[in-house]
Amino acid sequence: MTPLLEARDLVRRYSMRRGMLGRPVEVRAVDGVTLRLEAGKTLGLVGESGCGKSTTGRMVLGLEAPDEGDVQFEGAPMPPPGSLPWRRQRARMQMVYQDPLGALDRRLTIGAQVAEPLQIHGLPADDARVHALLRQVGLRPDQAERYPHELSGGQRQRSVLARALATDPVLLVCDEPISALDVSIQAQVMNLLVDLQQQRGIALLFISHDLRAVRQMSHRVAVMYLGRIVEEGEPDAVLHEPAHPYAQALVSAIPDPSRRGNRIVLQGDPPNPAARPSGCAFHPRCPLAVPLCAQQAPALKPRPGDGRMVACHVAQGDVAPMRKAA
Amino acid sequence: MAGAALVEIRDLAVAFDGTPALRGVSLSIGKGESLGLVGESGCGKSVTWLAALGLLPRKARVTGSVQLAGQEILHAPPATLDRVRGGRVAMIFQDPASSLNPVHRIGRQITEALQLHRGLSGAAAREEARRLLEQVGMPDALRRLDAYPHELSGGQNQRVMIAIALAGQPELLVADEPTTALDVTIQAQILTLLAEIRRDTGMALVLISHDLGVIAETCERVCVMYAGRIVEETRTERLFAAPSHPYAQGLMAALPPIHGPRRPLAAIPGSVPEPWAMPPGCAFAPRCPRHVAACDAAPPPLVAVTPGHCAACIRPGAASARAPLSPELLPA
Amino acid sequence: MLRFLGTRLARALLTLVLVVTFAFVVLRLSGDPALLIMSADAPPEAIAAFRRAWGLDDPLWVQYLRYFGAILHGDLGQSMRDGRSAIDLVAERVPATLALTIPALLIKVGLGIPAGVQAALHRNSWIDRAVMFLAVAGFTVPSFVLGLLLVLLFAVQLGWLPSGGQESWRHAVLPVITLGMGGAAVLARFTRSAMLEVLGQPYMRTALAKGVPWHVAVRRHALPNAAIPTVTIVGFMVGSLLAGAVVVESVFSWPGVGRLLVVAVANRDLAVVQCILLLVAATMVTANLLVDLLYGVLDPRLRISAGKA
Repeated sequence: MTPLLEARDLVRRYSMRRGMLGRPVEVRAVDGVTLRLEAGKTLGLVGESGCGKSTTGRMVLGLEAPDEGDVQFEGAPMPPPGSLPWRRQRARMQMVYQDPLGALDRRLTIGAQVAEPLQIHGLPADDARVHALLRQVGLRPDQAERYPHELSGGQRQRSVLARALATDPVLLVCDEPISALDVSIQAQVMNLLVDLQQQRGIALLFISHDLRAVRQMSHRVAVMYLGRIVEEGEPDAVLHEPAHPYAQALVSAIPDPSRRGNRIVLQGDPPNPAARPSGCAFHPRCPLAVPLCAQQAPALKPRPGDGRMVACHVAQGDVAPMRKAA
Repeated sequence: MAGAALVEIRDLAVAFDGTPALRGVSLSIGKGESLGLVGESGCGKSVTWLAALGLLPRKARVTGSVQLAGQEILHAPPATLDRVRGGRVAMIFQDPASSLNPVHRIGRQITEALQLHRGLSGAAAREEARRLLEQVGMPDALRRLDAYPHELSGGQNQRVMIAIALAGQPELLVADEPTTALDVTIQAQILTLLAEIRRDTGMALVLISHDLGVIAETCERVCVMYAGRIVEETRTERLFAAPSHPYAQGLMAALPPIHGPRRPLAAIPGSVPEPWAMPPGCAFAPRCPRHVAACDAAPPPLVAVTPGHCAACIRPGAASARAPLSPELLPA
Repeated sequence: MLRFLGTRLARALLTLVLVVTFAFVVLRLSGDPALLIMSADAPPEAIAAFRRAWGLDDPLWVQYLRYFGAILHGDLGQSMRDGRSAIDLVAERVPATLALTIPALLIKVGLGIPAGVQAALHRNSWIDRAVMFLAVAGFTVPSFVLGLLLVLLFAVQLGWLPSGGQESWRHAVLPVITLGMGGAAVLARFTRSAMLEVLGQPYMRTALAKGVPWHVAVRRHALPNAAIPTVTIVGFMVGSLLAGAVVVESVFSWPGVGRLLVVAVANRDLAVVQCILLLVAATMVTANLLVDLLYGVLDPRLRISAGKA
């Protein structure tokens, strides 16, 4: 079966200048990411700031062109940006951002903003259609007359969702859709996303730094570190028995009322993409690193034995781990 | 315990331009104790401590009483407050990068506090600043003294903030969402560091957070706040084992579990009432699954459900956190 | 650092070239200097001879190249009026203009910045309202109106000060005040908003939370940060030391560069106008360059990071 979305070996480089006077440095924001997403399913993309998860999301949507690699949507390559087929395809994939207030136009009513994509793509944009969309995301039709600042954070994110659903997309890329919301509202929005997916068969690329939310939402999970996927698999496998040392540290960092102490605390800061370590990018912070890790970048491949997808020399059993003296 | 309280806050209320932000908060914290304040944005958890330390803008109207070891510090003269702040009570904030002055080297920002509270200056201050940076786990501390905040990462900047806080050898550190702006692995580092410092110095800690998990790992006692009031107060394990207030129960049920089957989350319906449109009775009543007519009569007082466990609810109890929701309460 | 200076200097030179070119084109297209300089009933041969003498009968681009080549050799041409060197003509007017603009700059900075700071520190108080009222007034009243009002009051009504001319320091008082007030108003408004922005920053709260007394926090933590945007405006004012007094010099018959410019433009005295424009552009560009360098001193975020591991 052809997946809805397939991205192969995506690479995205930026030229970055440090300060006003610095020399430009090449930064590999995304460094060979391959992922596939089945129709109606959710892929969770998790990682810390600067790991390239948002850039990956934008490339998948065609909002940003990859420097290498390609994206196939429903088995066909992305049409060239700006062309008519591209526009038509854009209607079938939508994006939801972290900050709903920034994603909405403050001067337009919610109703007008939900109607806008309908008009752009030549669909009927009458009140009945707009009200139906609002009801679908749990808003009241009378709220179509409101302006973004008159709504709460959760209601705004619902409005963004209504607008994204207007063109009946088959793919939603959600970039940290709940991180700006309060806990009780996060649950509302997650439930809504799951409901919408079940009703309309939408596939979700759910980008988040929150492992709890990713587990709640996803059918598969990919963990990113410094532009690469280091582990991929079923949510419960990745979250309960992470294979990659970075995934293990991430999971152990989840604040959990039922556990005190005995967590893996990683030393050092999240790495700077402009100064990528040699070999496995995680090796300077890795408690299990061996000399090989600094020399050779591990490939993401099935682990012998259980077939878990992990990019780690140690997890793959190529070398014996070396516990650093604590 | 009341006699040994380090800080005793009584009926603290704050209003901005006539709109109440804090509606009568009383709490106390003992020497060396760790207390968590949890709640959603706008619940007043930060305002409580900014008000207590006189850090709110002038337009804020603050009433009530805040005693530090028996001495009233609310509306105290500036000179008194300047000695308390950064001295006996230190505070760190959410966004470490913008909480440090961008035009001063971090060494100077630490020695400023050393000069104020310990009278150190010159080489002695610099040496102590280096020691503090090492204490908070800053690599290459000596060289970092001459760095500017923008040259450090978010986690390192928060370590600098903690070093500044420790400069005055405080009896109480108020940490206001200290890890919210940081990555998950860095959050773990900072929480571990705070726990170590507390163990080493015997300092009391108030941790303000929206994240129940962060509070659970760090604090012995916890206050849950909602719409400007404390709605539940108890020992941390007790809150997680047997939450009493329906809001606390709702908060916990809304958190996606890490283990066990995945099912729709028990979201709290609706949203927090606006401060200028508070319900007459319990502020949580419009969202509450246990709501009855009596809830709308008056705001319920914080009373003991069991010894050491208080809730502001006229129908407290261990009702299941996943209590079925009445249909009209589904998300509006 | 050298690379930075190099690009800045190249940009500054480009600006100057553009200014020269622009002035040349506009002035040459807007009227025939020969007809303006010579009396209207001059014989056609005389006009033709004038044109030949000044090279005005060559194609425009030849005149431009010749002019540009001369500038590169430091020759800015002669006044068409009296044949004197344009540089000399302009240079002898510069001290008079500076005698107005430098004291005015001191008023702008000395009055505007403290007023803006005080307004911000006492936001919404009567101090703030009074400063903002005066600032809006100073900002909106054009300098020739303010100048005339001052003349009416102090020269005509009270007779304390002369209304025009350049005989003694007393003649400079009214033009300096006129110039200084407008600039002080602009600077006060700007400083106030820069200060309010800084006072709301989290690091101010940090300073107070570590026990820094309020007035020390303002001096040590707020002012250095508020200075960064304010420098831009002061730099602009320094840059307009030569050109900022055109209107005021005319109102008060002050024989400075500004009045020379007005007369030269009216006469299509190409060389003089271009000399002044070049001079003005050069001061502006130099001031901008200084502002850029000053940014680096004031704001460590714009320096090359040295402590980065």
